Amino acid sequence: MLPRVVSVTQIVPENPYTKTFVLDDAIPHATPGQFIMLWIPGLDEKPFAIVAPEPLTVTVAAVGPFSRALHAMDIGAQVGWRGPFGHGFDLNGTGDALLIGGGYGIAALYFAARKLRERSNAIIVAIGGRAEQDLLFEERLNALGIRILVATEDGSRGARGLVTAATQDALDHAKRILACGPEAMLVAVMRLALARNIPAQLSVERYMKCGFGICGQCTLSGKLVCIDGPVFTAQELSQLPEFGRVHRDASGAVHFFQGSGARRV
Amino acid sequence: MTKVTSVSAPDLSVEICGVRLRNPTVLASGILGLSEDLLVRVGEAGAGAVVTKSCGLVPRAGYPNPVVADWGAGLINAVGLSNPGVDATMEEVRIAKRVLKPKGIVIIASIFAESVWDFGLVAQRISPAEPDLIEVNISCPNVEHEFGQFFCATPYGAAQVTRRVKQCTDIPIVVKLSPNEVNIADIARAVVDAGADAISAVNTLGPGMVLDIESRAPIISNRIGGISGPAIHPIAVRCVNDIARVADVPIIGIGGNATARDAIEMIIAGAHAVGIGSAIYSRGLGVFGETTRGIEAYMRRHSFSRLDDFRGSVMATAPVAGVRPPEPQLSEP
Repeated sequence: MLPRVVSVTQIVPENPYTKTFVLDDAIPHATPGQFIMLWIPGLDEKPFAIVAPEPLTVTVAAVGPFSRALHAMDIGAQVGWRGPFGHGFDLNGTGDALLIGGGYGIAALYFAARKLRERSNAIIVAIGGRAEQDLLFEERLNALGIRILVATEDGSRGARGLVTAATQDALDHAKRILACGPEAMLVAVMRLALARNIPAQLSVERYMKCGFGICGQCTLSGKLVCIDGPVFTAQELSQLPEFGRVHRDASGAVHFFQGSGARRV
Repeated sequence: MTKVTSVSAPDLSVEICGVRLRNPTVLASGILGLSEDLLVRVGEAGAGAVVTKSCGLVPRAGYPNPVVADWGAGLINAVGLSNPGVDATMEEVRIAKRVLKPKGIVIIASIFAESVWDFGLVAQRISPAEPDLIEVNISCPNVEHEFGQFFCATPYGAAQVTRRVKQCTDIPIVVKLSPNEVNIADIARAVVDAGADAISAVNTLGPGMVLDIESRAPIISNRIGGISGPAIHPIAVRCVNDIARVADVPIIGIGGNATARDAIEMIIAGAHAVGIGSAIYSRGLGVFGETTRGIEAYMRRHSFSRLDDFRGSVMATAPVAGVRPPEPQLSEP
C-alpha cells in the first residue's frame, strides 16, 4: 500500500497548540483506536489516531518538526496517508463505559465515544490536562450528549488533580474502561482496572517507523504496538515489563520513563 | 497394494559452521530483530535461527519516515541502518541467547561499519555476547552517499573486510553479499579465500525508486531504497546457484522467500538455510512454521531423509542445437 496524497479540506484549532485536520478522503472500514501514517511528502511520516473515518480526520498537537510543519499548512495543502493500521478498541458489550483521556489522548477516544453513543451505550468521558488550555474536545463530546468529567492538574478547570482521581465515583458504575493518554496515566488506569476487576483497554504509544509490523521499532516487551496494539487490555499490559518503564528512540536505544524507578535487569 | 515401508520423519536440521539449526528457516537481518524480546518471539514462532538488525560502532537514528513501503510486488526500504550501537546490541544478544540457547534456536549478530578497520572493532565488541555466528553486512544498498562505495562492490574490498573481521573474532562469520554485482561468484570466491566461513545472499536489490505521482515526491525519505520481496526471488535463486557452483561453504539463501516452494528452490539451488524477511509482512510470523512444514511434506513426497539429499541438485540442462550461434573458429595464423 502506497500513501494516498489528498488535500486538507478543513483545519480546526482545538487548543493553543492542537489542530484538527480534515482530509479529502474516507476510510469507512476503520475502527476506533486504529491509526494512520500521515505523510508530508519530502519531510516525514508519523502515526496518528483516527478521530473520524468519513471524512478522514486527525487531531495533531504541535510537538515536533513534523507536527509544526503540519500546523503551518493551509486548506488545500497536500498530505499523504496510509492505513488503517493496528488493532483498535473492542466495542462489543453493553455495560456502562468509562472513557479516560489525558492530554491529546482524548482525540483517539472521540471516535470510540461516537460509536458507543450510536449504539446507545451509557458512557462517561473523563478529560484531563495540566491546565484549562490543554483540554480538548469538550464541546465536541458535549454535542454528542455525553456526560463529561473534567480535571486539570492546576485546578484551572474542573476538579483539581489527575484525571484518574476524578473518575473514582464513575468507576463504581463502569463495566468497562477505554483509555488513552500519557503512559503514567495509563499505568494508573491499568492498576485501578485490575484492582476493581473492570475490563480495560488502553491505547499505548511508542516510536514508530514502518507502522505495519516488520521493522520492530515499536516493540513493547516483544509485542508490536503497530499491529498487536496500539490498544491492549490491562491484563496484557500487566504482563509486559516494559510498559510504564521503558521506551525506545529512533536508533532503538532504550530510555526509561521518568519516575518509573526502573533499571535494566 | 504396495506396502509402504515406514520411514522415520525427515531430518530438517542443518549444520552451518558447526552450529546446528533445528530447521533451515532464518529470520533475515533488519526485520524485527531490534530487541531481545522480539528475537525470542520470532524464534518461538518457529525460526531455526534469528538475526539481529545490523549494528555499527555508534548509535544511528536512521532516516526519517517513510522507511518502508509496499509497492505492489515487494517492499522498498531505506531504514538507514538505525541501531543503538554495538554495545547495546551486545547486551540484547547476550540476553536473547540466554533464552534461545536452551530452546535450540541459533542467534546470529549482524554487523556493519564505515571502514575496514571499524568492521574489526564492531566484530570484536559483539563477540563477548557469544552469538553463534556473526553476519558481516557489506552490502546495504542505502548508505552509499554516506559510506562511499559498498565493500561488496569489488572482490578486493569484500576480501579486505572478511580478513579484518576474521582477525578480530573466533566466532564463525557469514558474509552477506549484494545481488547487484555483475559476477557475484567472483565476490563469493574472494570472501571464501579471505576466510569467510559461510555466505548469506542476497541483500536487497537496487536501490530502486518509487514516486508518488501526485506530489512527485519519492515515497522513501532517502529517495531510493533496497528492493525485497517476491519480485527479487528469481534473482536471489540465481545468485545462490552462482555462488554454490564456486564456493564450498554453507550458504544462507535470502531474497523473496515467502513459501515452502520458494525455500525448496533455494535449497535445490544450493542453500543450506533460507532467510525470511519481507514475507513476515504478507504472511505474519506463521511463515516460519508453514515453510518448515512445507519443506517436510516435500521431503516425504520425494523420500528425502535429509536436506543434503536434494541440496544443490539443480538438473543440468541439455544444450539445445541450433539455438546458440556457432562458436567462432580460431584458426592458426
